[in-house]
Amino acid sequence: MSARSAGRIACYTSFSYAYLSRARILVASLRRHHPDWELWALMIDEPPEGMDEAAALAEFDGVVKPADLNLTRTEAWLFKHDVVEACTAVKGAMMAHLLARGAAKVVYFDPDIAVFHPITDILEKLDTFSIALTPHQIAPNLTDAAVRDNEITSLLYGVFNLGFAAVRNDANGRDFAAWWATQLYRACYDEVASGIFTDQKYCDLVPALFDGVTVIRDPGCNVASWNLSRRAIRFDTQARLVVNGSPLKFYHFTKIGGVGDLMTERYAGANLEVFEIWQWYKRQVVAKSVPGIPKRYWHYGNFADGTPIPKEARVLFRRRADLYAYFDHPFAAGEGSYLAWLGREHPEMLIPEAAGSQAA
Amino acid sequence: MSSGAGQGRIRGFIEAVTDGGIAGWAFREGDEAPLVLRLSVDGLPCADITCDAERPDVWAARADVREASGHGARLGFRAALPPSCFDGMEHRFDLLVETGESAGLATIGRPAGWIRQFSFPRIAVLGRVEPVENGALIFGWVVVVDRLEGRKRTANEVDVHSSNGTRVALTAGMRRPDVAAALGCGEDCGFRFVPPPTLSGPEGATLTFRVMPEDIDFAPHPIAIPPFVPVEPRIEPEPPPAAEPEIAATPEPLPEPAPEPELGPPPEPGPEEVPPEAAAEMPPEPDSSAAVPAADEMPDVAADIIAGTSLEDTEAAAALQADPDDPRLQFTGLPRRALFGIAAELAEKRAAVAPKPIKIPEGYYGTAVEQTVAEALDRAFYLATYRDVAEAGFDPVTHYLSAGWREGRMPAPWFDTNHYLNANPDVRDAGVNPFWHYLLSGRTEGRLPSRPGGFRRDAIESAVAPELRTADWVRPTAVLKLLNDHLERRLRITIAAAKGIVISVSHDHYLTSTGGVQLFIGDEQAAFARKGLAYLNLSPTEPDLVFAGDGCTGMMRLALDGESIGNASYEDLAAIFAGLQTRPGETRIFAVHCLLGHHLARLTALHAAFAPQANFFWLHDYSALCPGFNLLRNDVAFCGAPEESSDACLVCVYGERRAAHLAQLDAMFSAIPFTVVAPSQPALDIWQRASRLPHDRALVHPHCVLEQVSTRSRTLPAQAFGRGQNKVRIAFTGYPVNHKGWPIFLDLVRRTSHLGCYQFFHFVNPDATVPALTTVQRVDVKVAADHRDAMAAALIAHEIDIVLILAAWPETFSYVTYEALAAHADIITLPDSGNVAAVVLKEGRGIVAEEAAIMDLFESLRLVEYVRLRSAQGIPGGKLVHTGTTATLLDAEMAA
Repeated sequence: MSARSAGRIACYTSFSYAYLSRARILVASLRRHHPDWELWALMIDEPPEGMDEAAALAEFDGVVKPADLNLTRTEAWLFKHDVVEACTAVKGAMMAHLLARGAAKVVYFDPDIAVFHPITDILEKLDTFSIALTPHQIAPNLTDAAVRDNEITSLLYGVFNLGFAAVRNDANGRDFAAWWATQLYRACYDEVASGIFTDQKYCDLVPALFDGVTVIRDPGCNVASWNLSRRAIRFDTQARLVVNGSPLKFYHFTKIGGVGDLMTERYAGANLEVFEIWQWYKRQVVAKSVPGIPKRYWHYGNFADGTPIPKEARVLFRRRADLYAYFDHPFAAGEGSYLAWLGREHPEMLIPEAAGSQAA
Repeated sequence: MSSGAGQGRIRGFIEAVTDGGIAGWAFREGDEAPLVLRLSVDGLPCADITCDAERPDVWAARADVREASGHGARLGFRAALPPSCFDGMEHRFDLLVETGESAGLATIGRPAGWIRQFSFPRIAVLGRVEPVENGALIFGWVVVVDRLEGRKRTANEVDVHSSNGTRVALTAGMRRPDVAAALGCGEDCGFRFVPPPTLSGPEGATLTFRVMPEDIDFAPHPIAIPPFVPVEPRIEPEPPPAAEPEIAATPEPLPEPAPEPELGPPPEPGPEEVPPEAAAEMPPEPDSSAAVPAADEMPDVAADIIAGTSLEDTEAAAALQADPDDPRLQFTGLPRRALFGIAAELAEKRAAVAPKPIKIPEGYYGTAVEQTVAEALDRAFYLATYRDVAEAGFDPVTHYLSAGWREGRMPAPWFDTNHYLNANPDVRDAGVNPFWHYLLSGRTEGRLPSRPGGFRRDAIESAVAPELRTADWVRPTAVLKLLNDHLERRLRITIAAAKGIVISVSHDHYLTSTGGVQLFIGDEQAAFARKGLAYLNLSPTEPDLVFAGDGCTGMMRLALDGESIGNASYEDLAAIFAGLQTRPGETRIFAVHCLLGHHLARLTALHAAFAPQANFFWLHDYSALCPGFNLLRNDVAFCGAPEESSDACLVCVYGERRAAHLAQLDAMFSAIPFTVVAPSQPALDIWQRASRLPHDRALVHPHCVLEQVSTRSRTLPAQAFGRGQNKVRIAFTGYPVNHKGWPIFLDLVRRTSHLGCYQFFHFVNPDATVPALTTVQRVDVKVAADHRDAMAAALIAHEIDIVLILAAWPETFSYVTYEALAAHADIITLPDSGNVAAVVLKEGRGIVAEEAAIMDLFESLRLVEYVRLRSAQGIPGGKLVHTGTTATLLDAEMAA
């Protein structure tokens, strides 16, 4: 697949096949509101056996994989990450890649976002600014429980939600993309105690490190369970969805079906429109599902012989420079492999975790 | 490092000799084969060990190794020690090369001849403790290994010690096939553990896990568990001494809870004890409000909880009380301010049942759990809601603690036991009382006491696209159709004997289905018959909630002059009518009552062959605007039929099909010059605002009108309403479904039963399945063609004062509204109820208000005041005159 043309607005999302249905919802919503954008899939996965990858990703204008991003020792580097870490670790490099291809502006959306109204305001801001970020919260919470769930969580995981980011192709924008890519190549891990949370916590530094940063405080942007406590969604007289009076630009359906359901219930309260949107998204996930993708599928979730890769094995691999230097193909199985080494040196790691846990 | 004989030097290092084995690395310089070492214990050889494991760490760290190794980084070794070592005695370990020469590896960096001796315990404990949900739930496994015997013991006893000094015991016998596969032990080695409150205490705690009887700790570090934060009892200001002279001053124990006669059903005076004529003169009497304890006996319900969960209602109520002109409350026929203020005796009654602050004397209930629950449980609500508890004379606190919560009963209107258990599996699994858990810690953790969104959220989550709603409908596997010759002959003879013929189109077979529209179609057929017109009704053999697709059979059930005659296809009928040309003077009329289930293009072709002179399209519902025929977005909120491209349609279960639905209608309306007929002005207004369908003209023609023949004059004096047995009688009519407001009715009943002023009825078809309710009296009513006034008669017979018509959608007509008017009952309805609200306001026969305001009317007892005022006025009633739908419409047109 080839992109339509350079110099236009390029938008990308990063995901594995388990999130294909969500990414398809995002793409459909973007086509509805921004039909002139180039839409790119950053696919951190390989298709399940029997799947036609070109057909599965046909709604995108272009597809990029980590191997296309000129990363050093891509396979060994990828092994250091679980699926969330891997899908976020390449976002900076992809942003730099699209800027290098000449896009005038580059927009990133998480695959579990759906766009409801054009984000024209943000794009226009990027005529003046270089980097646009959306904070998790834009209004203080009022109860201890809500502060604990929201503000404190933002302090731990990052002020800005990196489910969205947009840059202009100028020196500031390119510097940010290059810096972000560098940080993420070095360490894009879920290690909150170390001050790192994937690609997100780094961006707390962005307003300090770069010029031309605009913080988007539109309540219609990046609506999610972490800010519902201070946002009310309604239909206005034109049957438009509005958030605190502002049209709903995009909603982040984070952790749907899991803890997202719980937190949405907790903070939506009697705001039934939230449940209407949430339920719509659940129906769309079913409607956009592509058959043949096993539940929780990730090609890089297993060793070559099918053994699930425990998170500890990845953590050990990224902490031990000797292991990272020695094993060029850590996904391999059999004699001389990292898996064989683990079996001898750390057999306890290969005992599956407690009921309900799985490979990372 | 020491040298080997002959070949290159032996190099290596013993890194560890532990109970996990002996490990290190070794190689012979320049040798491409891995080195083989012999392990001897106490001088006795016992195993050969090959040094061929990858050692990337050695490889990365040692340039000399990289230079000298002949086989890369594969130079590591690790071997288990023989079981005989684990006897608690000291042993000597040697590693030798194959030649028999001592490799001397143990002497690296140390003097030659140095011998290390080790002792290892016989028993080793392997285990893991894995807290989830911040320690609210803990998984784990433990295996005890006897290394001398080579046995692995499972199903072990474990003692869990808390840092607060408490301890509980558990057995690790849960199946863990994963551990069994990895360790070669039995599967029964796991456990799943919910720390009880005693272990955590109010400040949280850390836990250690020790396997017994060895008393060995197997958790790598203490496991933190969250605190259970006790709720401070709210200190209420001392009530005025006059109101509570004894209890406030003397905290004596309450009476024994078991018999508790003062909590039982009240001794209500019978009707004969309150002669109607005397009632108005009597002072306020004790009534059912005595069913609840006196104010000073009532446990306190923490006011902040109540305020938090009913804030919206409280605000609405406050607003209404503050502003009698609040537009959210609409009614006519009474001075506007009549509803603001209630008789002193009603105010006293209201005050008597309101939750009152009270402290339960310490020790009255035996345990802290009972005490906590007792202080928050709404006794009046509990006894009124669960009559079986009241009738059995149980103390509500004791009942809830012992059985009520397990039966899903609610301890207060704001706490939903079932929801709390379902939403918090950790609480459910812990087996603790959910109300107590919420009061102690759940609310500070942000857990919700009830499911937000109520029944409307349930509706949203169960809403599905209309085509999916009929997926499980039983459909005929084969349909017999009439022979065309036979049908053609039958129609030819019928038409020849008549002045003309009407084709009417409906979604179901009006002769066998029960409902208002079906009755009106029956009226219509009879009225046309009186005019000498034959009447052919068409309904799909496979009814549906959407238009039929191209794959449908196209078969319809035919009813000719009130008789089912069989089935035929659109095409069969079109061919017949193409051959039955209209005679001079013959009238042909085409009347659509509902198109759902029909194939519009094929029906349009049939219409062309029929070639009628007049075409009518009835707005019995809004299926001419949307597949969601009652315009409830996601089955919960009136949408007004916005643009198909709107956000509302995007997220609605009916939105996806709407554009195609309207395109099919547009094709039909473009081909047929319809006169659009609405049974009410509100229905026509909505349709005209939202529709772009071409049509000839549009008008309003009601199905029936009320002819006033009498004014109700109850023998009961107006001021007796709401006293003793003279409760205000409230009715819900029809099927108990969401879009008719059944959940609102139930909520109303639940929140006001304990007031003792209202009696609730449900008038419903005998076939309807309705959960039995002790607080609602069911009355079976079957309205049929030959019993058209059955509902009105039943309402009159039960002396109903108020009929609740809580339609969430704008009813196009609402026959029951007219039935209520005929039965001398006033109506309470919602603003979005379409013709219901319009009729109520036009006729001055009730109240139109938002749900919260209706709740407040009931709870404040201002509704009792309203009924008294209305009763004093006398409420009109009468009989319904049916207009006969399309047939009388023709008359009106001809008269015009």
